[in-house]
Amino acid sequence: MSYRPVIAIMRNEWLRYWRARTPFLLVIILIGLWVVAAFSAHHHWQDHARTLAAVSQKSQQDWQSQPDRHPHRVSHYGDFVAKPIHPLSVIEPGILDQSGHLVYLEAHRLNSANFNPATEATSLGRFPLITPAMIVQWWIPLCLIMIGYASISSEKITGTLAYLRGNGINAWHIACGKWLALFIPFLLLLLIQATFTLVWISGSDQALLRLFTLFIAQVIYIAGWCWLVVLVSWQSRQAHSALLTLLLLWVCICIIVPKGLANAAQIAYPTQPRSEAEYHAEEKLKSIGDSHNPDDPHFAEFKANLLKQYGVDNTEDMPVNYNGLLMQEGERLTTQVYREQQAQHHAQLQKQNTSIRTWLWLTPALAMQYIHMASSGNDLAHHLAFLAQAEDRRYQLIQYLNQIHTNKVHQHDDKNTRVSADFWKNAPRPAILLSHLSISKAAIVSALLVLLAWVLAPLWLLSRVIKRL
Amino acid sequence: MSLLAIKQFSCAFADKKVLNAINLTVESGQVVSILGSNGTGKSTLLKCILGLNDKSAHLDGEIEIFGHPVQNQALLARRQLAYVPEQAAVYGHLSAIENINYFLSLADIKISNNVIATHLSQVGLDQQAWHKPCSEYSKGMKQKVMLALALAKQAKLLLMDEPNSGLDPQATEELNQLIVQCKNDGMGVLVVTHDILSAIAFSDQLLMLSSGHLSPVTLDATSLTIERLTHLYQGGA
Repeated sequence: MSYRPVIAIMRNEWLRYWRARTPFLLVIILIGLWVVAAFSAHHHWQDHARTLAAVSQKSQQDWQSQPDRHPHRVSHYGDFVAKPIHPLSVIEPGILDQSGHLVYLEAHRLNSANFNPATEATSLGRFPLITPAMIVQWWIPLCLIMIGYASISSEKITGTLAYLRGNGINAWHIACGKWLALFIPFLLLLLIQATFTLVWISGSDQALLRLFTLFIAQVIYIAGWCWLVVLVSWQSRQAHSALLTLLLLWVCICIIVPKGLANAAQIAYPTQPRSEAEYHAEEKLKSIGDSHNPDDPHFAEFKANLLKQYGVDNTEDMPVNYNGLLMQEGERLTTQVYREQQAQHHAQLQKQNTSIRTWLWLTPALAMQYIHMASSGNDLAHHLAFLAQAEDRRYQLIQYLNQIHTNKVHQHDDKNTRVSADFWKNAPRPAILLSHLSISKAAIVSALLVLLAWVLAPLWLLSRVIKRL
Repeated sequence: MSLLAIKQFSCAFADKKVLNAINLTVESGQVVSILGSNGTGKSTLLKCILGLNDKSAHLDGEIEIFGHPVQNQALLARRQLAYVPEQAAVYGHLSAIENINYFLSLADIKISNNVIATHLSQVGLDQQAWHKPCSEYSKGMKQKVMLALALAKQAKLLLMDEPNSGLDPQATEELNQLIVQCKNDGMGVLVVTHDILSAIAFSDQLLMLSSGHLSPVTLDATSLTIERLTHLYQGGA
């Protein structure tokens, strides 16, 4: 296919934009909105980052400066962990604002960020904060519709399309020229965004991989919208009917279907409210074992086994602190119950997500959002991985303290014993790291496939209607 | 070789035969006009000549432009002619010179603005209008731009669909003269029109399309009567 007519048609279209002024003005407004979104999202991210740094530092200082004290007091002193935030969160904060980014870890307590609905992953209720991701997801398509709805339909009305076709201009040349006229300016804007982002995120975790995934998906998404605009414009007899059709598609693709899918998933796979989950956990704990109840069968058996193991008749004769062992067993049981609850909750969230992914092909906007959230490390998979790391850290730390309680605190004077602060300073508090992008592989692959289909479907439909004048 | 040769050409949609065994040739330096009432298939015939007919149509027979069969080589055939649709198809945001430059660039033809200016003068477009956007032009001015384009394209065959529709008498007369000028320059012209007086003025051959059949008619402007025209349009000889 000769490219010269395509280039000529594209340049003529740009000239039309320029002389009509309105398309040009629309792009200027969009760029302005984009800059505002970038600055506000950057400011928001800096707020997050500053808070995280300050809280982490304060938490670390407070932890390290604890005096000699009883280990059980230390276990209730608590430990803050901060969710690692990738700088790409400036593009898409994802569920960050809903899930929180700080988790307070202490003994026998549920992780405070555990119970949030997965529907937040597709939430469209984040209107107050305009992000660069939103610009790409919603506002660029709207801008493309405003600029391009008449690109072919107006040529039908003025007769220039018939003239071009009647004078031997290939229909695909016309379609490609119109498509390029729409696509190239926005490709340049995406490239500029990617360049600034690259500078901003350089040196961060998997910067290139995450940005490349994001950029490719954005390019495919916008390319698909451009083809859709050309297709509808070609198919419509009047410019206003092309505009109405495209606006209807935009509302469905960007708002109604994503929100509908999220709500349907929540209805089909409901998650328990936190208070209800805590109530069920408490109930289950009581049924498994209550360490404060001398007649509790589980702890009675636990005590009997220990007495047998140490060859003594009374816990006071044991060479280790029985209360410490009781704490360890209590923590083990509590953690087991909470983790079961957590696993059920996460399974429900995954079902919601899987259900949404099954219908992802209905809306490329949601597919784009999945990739935005995954590449910025703010999707459900990254969040669950963070919670798992935090919970592991909590359990390791508490059991470490319980072991100190068991081995370093004399049970004859349990309440008044103080243990050296060096133990807290050397306590295991493994760093919480941002998960690898591959943790979101399933979401990314399905979303990319949807986006590819999103480009090919309008092309296929165009090949069916393109012969018509 | 004829510029345009249509042999035993028929076109049908489902059960309805729109064109029935049409035969037609257009030679160099000849103007052929096709008359006919609304819905008789004049525009369908033009679309078939251009290879832009509805794909659901059942076609039979042959149409050749410069020896290229339209059915197989539509693009190649179309590139060698100039087609002027009923609605003067110019871009409102471009001037006359820009429009011609643009359409020529699409056909991969490069000529200087001076040559374009010569053609615009030839068709009688006021020089003051050359650089104004065509959205400010009248229909007659737009038709002149289309004709200047056909001249600039150096097409040997010109197809015109209702060229005089919506033009005032003066613009109609100017356009008629331009068509005669094209003929004198050796161009073959096929005109589909309702304007019988104009057709009589510039045509070498007048054809009437009625009930799918194309038949020659002989008309004299001085002896035209309403009764005679009605009879012709109803398929009479």
